[in-house]
Amino acid sequence: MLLRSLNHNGVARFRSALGKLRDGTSVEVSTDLLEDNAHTEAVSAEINVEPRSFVSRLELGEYLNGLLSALPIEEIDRNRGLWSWLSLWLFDVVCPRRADGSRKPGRDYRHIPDFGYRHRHRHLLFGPYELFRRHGARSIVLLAGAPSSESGLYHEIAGRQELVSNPGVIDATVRLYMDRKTGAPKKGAQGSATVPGGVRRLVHVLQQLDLTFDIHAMTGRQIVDLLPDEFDVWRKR
Amino acid sequence: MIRRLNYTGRRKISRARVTVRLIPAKRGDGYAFHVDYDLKGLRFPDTARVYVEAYNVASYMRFSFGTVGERHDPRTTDLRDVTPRPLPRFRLKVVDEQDRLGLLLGVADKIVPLRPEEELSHKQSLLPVEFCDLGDRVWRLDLTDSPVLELNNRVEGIADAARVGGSFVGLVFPEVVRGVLSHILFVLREDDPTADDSEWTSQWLRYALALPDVGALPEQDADREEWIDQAVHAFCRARQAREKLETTLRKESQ
Repeated sequence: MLLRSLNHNGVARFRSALGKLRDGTSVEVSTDLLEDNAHTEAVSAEINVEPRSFVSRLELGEYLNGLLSALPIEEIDRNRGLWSWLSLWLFDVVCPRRADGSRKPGRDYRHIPDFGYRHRHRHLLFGPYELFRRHGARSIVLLAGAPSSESGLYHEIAGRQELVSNPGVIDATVRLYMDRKTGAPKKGAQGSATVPGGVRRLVHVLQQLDLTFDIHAMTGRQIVDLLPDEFDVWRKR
Repeated sequence: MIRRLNYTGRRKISRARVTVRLIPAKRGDGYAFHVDYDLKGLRFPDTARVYVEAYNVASYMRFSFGTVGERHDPRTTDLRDVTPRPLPRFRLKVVDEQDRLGLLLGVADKIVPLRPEEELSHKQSLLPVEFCDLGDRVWRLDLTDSPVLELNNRVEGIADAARVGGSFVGLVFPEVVRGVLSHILFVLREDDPTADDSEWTSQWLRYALALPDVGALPEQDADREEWIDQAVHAFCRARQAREKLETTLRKESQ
């Protein structure tokens, strides 16, 4: 199949289908739209796509960067139709069927992107794509986990422009929170704001340090060294 | 909102001291930038380093401009890693790097760049204008980051029409005001005009409240819809929207 982009009618149909999944009046989303000229339009390059699965959001982000490399960035960024088409095509990946046969799509912006700064990173494909584009394999701990959900680590960092744009911060999350044996986040790192040294405390402390230090010029190691004692438990684990 | 405390005496550099202008990039179709800044009288050490950062919701770049005492422009200011939309903002930092870690001595943030041909009087405009290909649309209000009025660069004379034409004052800008205020109150749920002087949301709320006959911001959403309507009406009155549109229509029909 060739990669295409949903047009206005296609996005509306997809949105309606998501609503039906949510309210339980349907358990399936038709992928017939994907090649229907009335609901899609061509993109500027011929790109073949094949069905496949992904073990993590990192793998998904890397794959999407390769897949879309033939398109100009202006055609990728803020292109609601393109990302909606990709979500529909990969619907089993981003909204897998549960044991009872149902699907839980969550909010529309997880599948049809909202490029406003509040929800931009919440799209389940665009989010990993953009983080991997910026930071490559260093996104490993933020893009850990299944493609159908985002981790607490990702949620806290990716939603804050001043943090997600900073390679040192991304590296610091790896140094603090990645289990070296499994590549997954250490247990408890994504806990509540009261967890000492957890990611929510990291965000708060970095926002304070940002008033005093030129955080953007720091390496991940320098950032980790600068953190207060409550982060020792993560530095040492 | 998290209240951030500045215990270390870092100085806020007034945005009036910094002017950033976008210019065509040396390579490719994108933008580069030129910056003028005046740090005199702020008592920064001559050895402190000066950096300018360009950023938007999607991207970030950083450029070194030497020290406070001796400016050295970078070889290029091409914004090759910064997406042209949403319109990037700029930040100027003065950093003490005597120690191992850079200590922030002063910062001017959220600087809205001027367009290549834009007049200096438009600096820190509440509504920067961006010219781009919008297909068959004439204009679009981009609220991805902070408000930007996008105008279709395929429409000949659109810049003049937006600047002085009665049709824009009469038909476009009132809806822009409505769109921005609705976004602030009902999407972002911000309602404090004094929250942060440098935040566009506070600036827009203050602008609306300063319009003639606009009352205090009500508590309830239903009343806020009416308040927005009041602000749009006040804007139209203050800008003589109807009269200007009528003049334009008269000229067109002659």
